[in-house]
Amino acid sequence: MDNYIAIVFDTDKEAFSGLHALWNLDDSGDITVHGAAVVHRDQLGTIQVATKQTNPGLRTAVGVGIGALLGALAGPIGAAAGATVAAGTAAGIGAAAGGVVGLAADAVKSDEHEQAAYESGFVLSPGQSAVVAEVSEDWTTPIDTTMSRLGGVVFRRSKGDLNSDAFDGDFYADSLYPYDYDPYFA
Amino acid sequence: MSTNNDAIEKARTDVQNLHKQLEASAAKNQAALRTDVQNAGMQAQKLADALRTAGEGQHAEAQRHLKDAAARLDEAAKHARDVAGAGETQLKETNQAMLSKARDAVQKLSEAIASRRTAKV
Repeated sequence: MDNYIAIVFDTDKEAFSGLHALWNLDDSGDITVHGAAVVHRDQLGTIQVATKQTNPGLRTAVGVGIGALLGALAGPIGAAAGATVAAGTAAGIGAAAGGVVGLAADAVKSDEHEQAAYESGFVLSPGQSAVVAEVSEDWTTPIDTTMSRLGGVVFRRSKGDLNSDAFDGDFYADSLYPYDYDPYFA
Repeated sequence: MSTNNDAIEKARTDVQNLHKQLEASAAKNQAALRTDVQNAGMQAQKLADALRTAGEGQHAEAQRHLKDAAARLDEAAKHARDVAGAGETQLKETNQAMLSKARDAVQKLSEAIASRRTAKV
């Protein structure tokens, strides 16, 4: 099955280890990783993407694709907010994406959206980091076991679900590195 | 693992490396960028041709992904053909277009590998 996943960690360092462990699972043939990136939410709520150290952009504001992906992982409410992020200006994306996760979390807590067919419970709190990725996996044990050992909590959403949300799947792929890299925050 | 399967895994690594090279080229000056783009174009064409061979003997879904990946690499190579007299802006646009095609090709190769692994389960 093809899934989008977010693995939440308490620190950048743990998330970086999680990213490498994910690609190691690909190397061993347990799963196939199509793309992955590390994001961090700072204390102000802004989400940023860790880039490669050689990338002059360094720690960049979250891109449109990853912003929408984070929203989609949070469920229909987050997905709707993700669409807003996609339509927003570059300057507003970071703050808006931070809002996406918060909005979805509030919705889960308040339980006011009974029509929602899906809620992952995905929350990225200030100070936390996450590995976001597109993967193919025949069973969830390899990722769940490996990430649990590293202190990560895994959230999933099937690619098919996202397509039904009228998102273009390829939209996300461009935002994820198609190979392992050394994440770097300025 | 079959020889063809090895070839697909190697092809993905090669296209991942092409993507890395194109990313690194983006920061270079006009002369160096032109050389990089032209070299990357030739490399993309070689990889596309290799993928067509690697597709032989694969199951239908993997073959479809490999064909798609080869098509993306063909497009990347095509972008590189008209840069002889290009200015810096056009070179950067070409590099970006090739980067996007290389990303698409890696995705298709990755999907081919996933379908191959799933078929073995």
